[in-house]
Amino acid sequence: MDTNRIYKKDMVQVFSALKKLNISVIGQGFDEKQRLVFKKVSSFQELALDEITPLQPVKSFLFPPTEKVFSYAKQDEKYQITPETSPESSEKKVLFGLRPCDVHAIEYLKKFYDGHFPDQPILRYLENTIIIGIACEHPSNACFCTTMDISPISSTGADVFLTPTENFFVIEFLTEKGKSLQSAFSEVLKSSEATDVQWKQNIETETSKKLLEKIEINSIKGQINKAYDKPLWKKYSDVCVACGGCTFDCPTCTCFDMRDVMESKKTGYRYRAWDSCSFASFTLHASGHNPRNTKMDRLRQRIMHKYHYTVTNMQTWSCTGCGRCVRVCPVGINTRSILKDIKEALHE
Amino acid sequence: MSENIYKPYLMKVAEVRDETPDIKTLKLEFQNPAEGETFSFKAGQFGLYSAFGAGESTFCIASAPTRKGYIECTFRVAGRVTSQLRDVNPGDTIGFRGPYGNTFPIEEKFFGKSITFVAGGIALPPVRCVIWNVLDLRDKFKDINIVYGAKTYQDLVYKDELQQWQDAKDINLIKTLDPGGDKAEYGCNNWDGKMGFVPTVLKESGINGKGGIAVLCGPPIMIKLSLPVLVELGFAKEDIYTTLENKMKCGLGKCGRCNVGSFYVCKHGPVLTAADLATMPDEF
Repeated sequence: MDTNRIYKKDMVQVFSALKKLNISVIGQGFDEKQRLVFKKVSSFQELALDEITPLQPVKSFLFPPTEKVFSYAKQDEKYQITPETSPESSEKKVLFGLRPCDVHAIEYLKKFYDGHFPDQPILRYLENTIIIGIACEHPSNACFCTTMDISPISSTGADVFLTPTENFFVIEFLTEKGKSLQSAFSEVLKSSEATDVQWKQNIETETSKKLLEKIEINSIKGQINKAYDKPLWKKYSDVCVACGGCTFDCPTCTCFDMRDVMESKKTGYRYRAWDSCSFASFTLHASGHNPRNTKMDRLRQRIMHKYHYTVTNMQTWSCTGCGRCVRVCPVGINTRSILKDIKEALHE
Repeated sequence: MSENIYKPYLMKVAEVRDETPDIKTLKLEFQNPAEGETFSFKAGQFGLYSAFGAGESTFCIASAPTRKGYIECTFRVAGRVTSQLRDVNPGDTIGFRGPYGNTFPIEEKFFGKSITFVAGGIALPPVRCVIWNVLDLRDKFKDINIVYGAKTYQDLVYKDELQQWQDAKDINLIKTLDPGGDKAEYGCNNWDGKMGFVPTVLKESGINGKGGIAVLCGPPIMIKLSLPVLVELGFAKEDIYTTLENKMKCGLGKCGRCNVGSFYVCKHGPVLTAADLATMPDEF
């Protein structure tokens, strides 16, 4: 493995090297209204790596909330359809300092959109993205990554991985994509020391103390559908206001709507937009029939999808334990508690 | 592979038929003949039909794969897209993506057996695709039974074809209207079929299901009530096929709304057996 040190004081050169390569950098920082967000940054100082994760996931840079699919135009009674390719999708970018939970989420998005019929518009974004992960020292009070089998120091899915120390990062170049940056950084890469592996272990130990207790759910993996008819759902759906926040802020929620906009008698476009299984309209048939007619049906769908349906279809949870759904919920529904309840219900 | 999986084919409307006051059939040909040459599908598959400016709707391909060069769709006018599709005329252009989904295992499972079709109302189109497929290969099958019902005479689709099937000596057609559906106000005079709901008529049909295949399609309530009747007639649950329809935006397993449990209607379905259905949550 290619492991080096890179000193924080040298990050200016890292940023200028990326700029020279025409690679834009996206990372977490504060916007003009002092909200913690993922945004395009032009210097290391703009990053707020000592913060918890932004509430809005980074997926909006890979799977935009709304995006044109194609335009149509009618000319001489004939239609022309022109697929839209957003310029951002072919822009080279680095996601800088992504936590292991969010790196896993991107791994999931890749697997999801690449399967069955590959979704090229989204895959194009992913192809042009280099992920620089970072060991997580700053979990929020809602984080439960270890419950989802993700360690706060996991580098799986990252192209480059950083372990922060006070003055430098231990930097690992893990994939071909990651190694493509190695020469650009060469001037500031310093050799690492044998003891550098210890930094990561220290972070794992310290961060694990701050995380919520791990719930052992591997014992119920593949069995969660047996909780379908248990009474636990009602407790949560009774208070749910179906705002969809948990889905929009979820880094692994993939659902979308497609709609047409008529711009003139002869022209218009089709776009897709994030959609949410929390909304009644999501599954409502034109006939008026709705297969998931109640809030309970829809809340259960969200949970079953994340913890059972993707396990069946993709052999993986579609949850990373990032805790955003818990942080955003206006009525305090806690996904981790639902998991606990499911486990209890199954053991009754 | 196309550069964008959501880009539809352009289809020329070749023919428009009024089935009922709110149900239409469109016959569609590929605007680009080269695309038509390479296009093929199998019975049971569906597509997404575009009315540009309004959006897309999902319907089965109602014509048979044994009839090349065109596809047909039959739909009820219900929402934004179907309201715009209602107004198309021959020569107009609409969009089509497909074929998507799995198929009825006609060669693998149906050959050599008796086939019983059961459909209600607007659910005849997906079954019709299989019916014509089977009839075009008539000597591969034993008895053919078709049980079709609608609320009123006016709601029966493919009336000409019903007559053809009724006249054919090697088809047993049982058609029925819900009680009160044969009134003159529905355009009916001298109804020569049965009166009663599909499950009831099916029960009294005398059809022997042993060793046969059933293809069932209808509104959810009709499916739920007809399944036990088919089992009573002797059909094995593994030999009762149906096809599901749920709201879809992509048809490709991505948009996330057509699933019934782990089963995505668009990619694992739409065709499945009563045995499959029994393992799924009641979300269809």
